[in-house]
Amino acid sequence: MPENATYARVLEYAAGLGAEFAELFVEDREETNIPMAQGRLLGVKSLRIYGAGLHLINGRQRVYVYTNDTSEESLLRLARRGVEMLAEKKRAAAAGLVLEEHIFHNPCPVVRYPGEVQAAEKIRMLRLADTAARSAGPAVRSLSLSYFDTDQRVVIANTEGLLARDRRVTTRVRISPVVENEKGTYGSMGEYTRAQGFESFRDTGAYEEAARDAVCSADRILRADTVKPCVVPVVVAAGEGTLWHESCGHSLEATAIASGSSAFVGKLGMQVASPKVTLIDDGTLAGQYGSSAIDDEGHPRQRNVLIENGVLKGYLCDRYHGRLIGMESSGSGRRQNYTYAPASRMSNTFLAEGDDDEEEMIRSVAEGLYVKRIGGGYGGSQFALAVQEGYWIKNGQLDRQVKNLTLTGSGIDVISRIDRVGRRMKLEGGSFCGAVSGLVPTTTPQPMCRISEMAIG
Amino acid sequence: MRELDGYRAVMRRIADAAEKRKSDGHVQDEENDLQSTRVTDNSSLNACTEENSRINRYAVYDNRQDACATDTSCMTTCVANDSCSNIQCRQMYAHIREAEAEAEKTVRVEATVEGGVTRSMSFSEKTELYVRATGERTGLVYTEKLDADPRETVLQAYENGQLGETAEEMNTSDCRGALGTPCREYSAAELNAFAASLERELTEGCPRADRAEVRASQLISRIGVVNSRGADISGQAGRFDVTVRIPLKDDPMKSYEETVTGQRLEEIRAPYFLAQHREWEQTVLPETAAFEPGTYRTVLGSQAVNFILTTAWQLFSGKRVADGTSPLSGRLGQKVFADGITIRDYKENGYPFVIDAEGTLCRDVPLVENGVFVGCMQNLASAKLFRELGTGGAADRVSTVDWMNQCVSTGNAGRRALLSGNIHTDMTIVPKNFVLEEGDQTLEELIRACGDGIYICESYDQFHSLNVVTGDFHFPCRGVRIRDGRLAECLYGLTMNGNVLTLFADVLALGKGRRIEPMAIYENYLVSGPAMLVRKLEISG
Repeated sequence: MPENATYARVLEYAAGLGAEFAELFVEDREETNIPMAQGRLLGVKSLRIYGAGLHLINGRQRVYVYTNDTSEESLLRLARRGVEMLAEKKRAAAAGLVLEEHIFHNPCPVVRYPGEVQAAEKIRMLRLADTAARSAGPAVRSLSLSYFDTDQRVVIANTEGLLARDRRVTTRVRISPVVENEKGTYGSMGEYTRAQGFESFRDTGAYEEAARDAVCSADRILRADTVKPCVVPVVVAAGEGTLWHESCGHSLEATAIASGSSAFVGKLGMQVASPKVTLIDDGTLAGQYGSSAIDDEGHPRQRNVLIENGVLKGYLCDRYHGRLIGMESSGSGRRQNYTYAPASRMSNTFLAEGDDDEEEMIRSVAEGLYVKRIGGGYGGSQFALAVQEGYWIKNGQLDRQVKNLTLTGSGIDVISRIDRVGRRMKLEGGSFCGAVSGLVPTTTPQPMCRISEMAIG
Repeated sequence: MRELDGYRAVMRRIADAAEKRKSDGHVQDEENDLQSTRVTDNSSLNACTEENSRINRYAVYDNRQDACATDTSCMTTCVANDSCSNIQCRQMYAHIREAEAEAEKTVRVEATVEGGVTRSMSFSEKTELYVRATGERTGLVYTEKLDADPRETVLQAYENGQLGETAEEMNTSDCRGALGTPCREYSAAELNAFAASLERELTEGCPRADRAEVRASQLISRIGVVNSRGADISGQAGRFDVTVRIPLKDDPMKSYEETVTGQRLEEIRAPYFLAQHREWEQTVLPETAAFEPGTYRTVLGSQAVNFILTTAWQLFSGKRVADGTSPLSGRLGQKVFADGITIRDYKENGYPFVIDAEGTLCRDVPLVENGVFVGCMQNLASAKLFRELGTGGAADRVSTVDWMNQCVSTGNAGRRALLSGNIHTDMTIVPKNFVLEEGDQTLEELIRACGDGIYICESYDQFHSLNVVTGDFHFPCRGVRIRDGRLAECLYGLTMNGNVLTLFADVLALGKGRRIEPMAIYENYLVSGPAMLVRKLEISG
């Protein structure tokens, strides 16, 4: 990676040409991918993502330029090109930019960096997961597994004198079985994801269980019944907080607020949800997939209370979109890599614990849906979530498994109908959220909760 | 391509070494030599599985390297120097049977104007290198670090392959040359001026809007492939994409949004967007109080059709059809959809393509002709799968000529097929311009012909809603109730449920004109289809 002096010279050059604010994001990321299909190893793949992005802001205009040639000459050329795109140039800044390095603690400590682990050990782990999945019981028609590890080093420097570094390590196994039984064939996917080094595979039972679960879950779904679309109470299991991510998380991002496309625009301080709802986004949670020392603009991560007892308290802001709506960064400026300009994004977004009894939540439902697992989804003012594993509740008891259901609705409407929030928070491994600045790791833990009524279909 | 210059010499050396081995008959000797070493080492390590022997063999290489290489630089230099005194190094390089380097370079300029003000501009220049090497099996290295030593990179790919169990296909044709049309690079200022002018026209032309957002971009992409089998080819293509969003003045949460692409910026004009916007405005109506879930005669708008095509194209992947994970497996040559349904994957007609990621020339690929399933999208590996299947396998109703057409790559090799949280490294099948051909009915005529039913004007969640193995789908969407052939009330929070095969078998009429839907985030291919009237579709909500 370039030296600190190079960052200072490039930033100083951009400021001298007329950039009010300039920020360099330099990334060097090593990844390993080991795919396996039908028990056959498809090789080891080494990846190196390497490059730099320069973010310039003048007033309400932003320019983003990037390259994977990080020589000083190339970066200076990039800076000139970027500043030329700014409609208005600011008066040249004083020379002599001094970068002060800030040290931030990463909440996800690493014991064994993936690069220090032999590929053979990773393959052995994958083989064990493969065996576990195949011996789970149901007939597996095809099975693909893929091991991933990521070791991302970033340096962020800006014209305010900030110089910050972070190193983010994750490991993951994806299990994709196609299961068949007398009801047909079904393809599903399971993941074992950790914001840790290879030590995340010390617990053999945990990832083997994830592999078995992916197969058994697909088998159960095949055997499940269908139900007619209807409006019923919906109980969502602990750990399945995707509901919050999709129903209102995206609408609380400054990107949505600034564009006016969110139902939460102009509602700060107002009651927007049931009083049982306290919604938090916290990028500092130890060991969580959405956590890191700093965001991708060098701002330390923080705990952001978005909704408190149903009252809207804040938005998730990156520097630029925060500026558009007159708010400071909340440490939420994130991006997939250097090829994306930062945008406000969620991290670990969750409903805070309540004081309702989990068993009563189901017991008091005459007829409704218990969502044990949520699949993929879509967010915004209208949201939709696939029910990956659902059970029909009849007379206060789980009656049978049901399939092919989607939860749909308007986020601001659904969160006003939360009538129970359980006491026990459950974490989850995490996955990716895709939006304007690419795919970023997030988690959606939550306690069990209930929506008094909601459309399912 | 300049980025591949360093790899040409390495590829030549590997090709020469392979040729020399063939003529000297040395391959077998070296294999025997390694085999005996492997057996010895395996016994000492008490390894018994096939995989362990491979891993141990890899360790043998490492040990030899440690034991004999006083100067580790020879591990890279002897690729170009077969007189290296380090016999183990020579043996290692002698075992790279073939190798390939592919470079993908993109230059992108973009300007976004909103409400008469330039909001953002961007420029990027990026080159990605995918390097594959095969000994007995194939390994890969992906790098964006352009100053990485080509020899070390090839060697790393080779070493990665030693732990695998599969050998990948590489292009055997000696295709050479630089193809495609050189493109003039637009400046950000030019794009900004275009976006500002278009934004003005759109704002003035939409009485219910007080602002619009226009994002105009130019993308110039170049792919180059050089390998030890003689391929040395590159292709360049350029295009302009313009995305327009027009929110309603009195309800900014509702907005019309569409992307148009073209090879000339001047082709992209305001009247098209204004006409589409007028059509969209007709669907913004008061919401109905009650909706009864059930099976309805349905008009699917072009956007809703595209959201189905966004994932449904995988049904036509040669790999899926061959390995039985597409509902179209075994149905080649059969009538699978309604009359009038024609689906093709074009090399132009949207985004321009020249060569694919394996260096194969791109071409138009017929997939469904008038309801008959006539072909698949193939890369080198899937074409080989078809050859191995033979006509008695997946398709028993096709002529030999049609079958042979499936056994060659159609120029659909690529790596970014669907969204994923990782850099895409697997060589897979990717469409180019996946098009459901249009019909001759206006939207108004389709709605009139529907009589009583639902018009699905917008759907969501294109990536999670279709099971490609079965073809079943559940798309969240919104619609408008059709009564007496006219749009009545709006319906929000709907889900359309069905199966792709049944849906396209139930098509009664196709609309005139197609929207495009670029692949989200990567924008490396697009799908495109017209509105259509279907006999029945289950709608819930």
